Amino acid sequence: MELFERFARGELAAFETLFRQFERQVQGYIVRLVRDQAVAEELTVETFWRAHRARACFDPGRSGDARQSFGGWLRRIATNLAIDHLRRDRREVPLSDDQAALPAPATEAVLEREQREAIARAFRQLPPSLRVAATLALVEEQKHSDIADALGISVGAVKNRIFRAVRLLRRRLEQLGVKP
Amino acid sequence: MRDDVEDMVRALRSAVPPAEATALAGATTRDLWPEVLARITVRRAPTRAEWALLAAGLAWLAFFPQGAVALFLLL
Repeated sequence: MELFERFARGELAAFETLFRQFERQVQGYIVRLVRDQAVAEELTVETFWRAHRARACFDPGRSGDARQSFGGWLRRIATNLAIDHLRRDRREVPLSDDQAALPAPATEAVLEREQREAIARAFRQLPPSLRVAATLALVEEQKHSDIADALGISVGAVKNRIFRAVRLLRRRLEQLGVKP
Repeated sequence: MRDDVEDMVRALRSAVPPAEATALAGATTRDLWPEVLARITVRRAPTRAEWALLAAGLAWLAFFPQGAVALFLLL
């Protein structure tokens, strides 16, 4: 508990200790959302910087477990940053030249690969708030309550976002003529 | 309907595998603390109010140079 109080008071050594303890956890969480190591590193730095800037808002005694509370707080900051990044980065990712130029024979393997690429592309084009909820729930299989905590919304709202993400994804794939 | 959703989820996990199953999970990480520290300790530029206060102080000293002595004695 004392470590968190020292952090909240602005002690740099306490912040470094917390950074060392939580860095991997935060970075691992962000990379799941943005799926890019370099971006995850950049957003990890930003997350801890924002946490330090807002340290006075962190109340270690508010909930029973200060460690869990601090981890949840970092996850919320990281989630918001990841959503902002995905919002900026939401664009069509074109096929690379060699993939586009290949006169691929229509074997089953090629069709499967094309289908996977179409699904991945359609998924990247989902609105970031739906994409983050769907990534955490459907891809990373995290608990709805944890996702709700990270997004700062209710469990019902998480389920609603997942449902909308699946519906939208299916609609986009139907437009592309892809049937999963 | 439920089967449809399960098929969709299966297809999605095949197209977008969990981070644990990809190279992302095993990526080595460099030490990010120096970057965090640099962000924290970077000196911010003075605000307009601070510049105005400094200008007022200098103007006061220009008109009342003896004030510098009084200020020195006060400090």
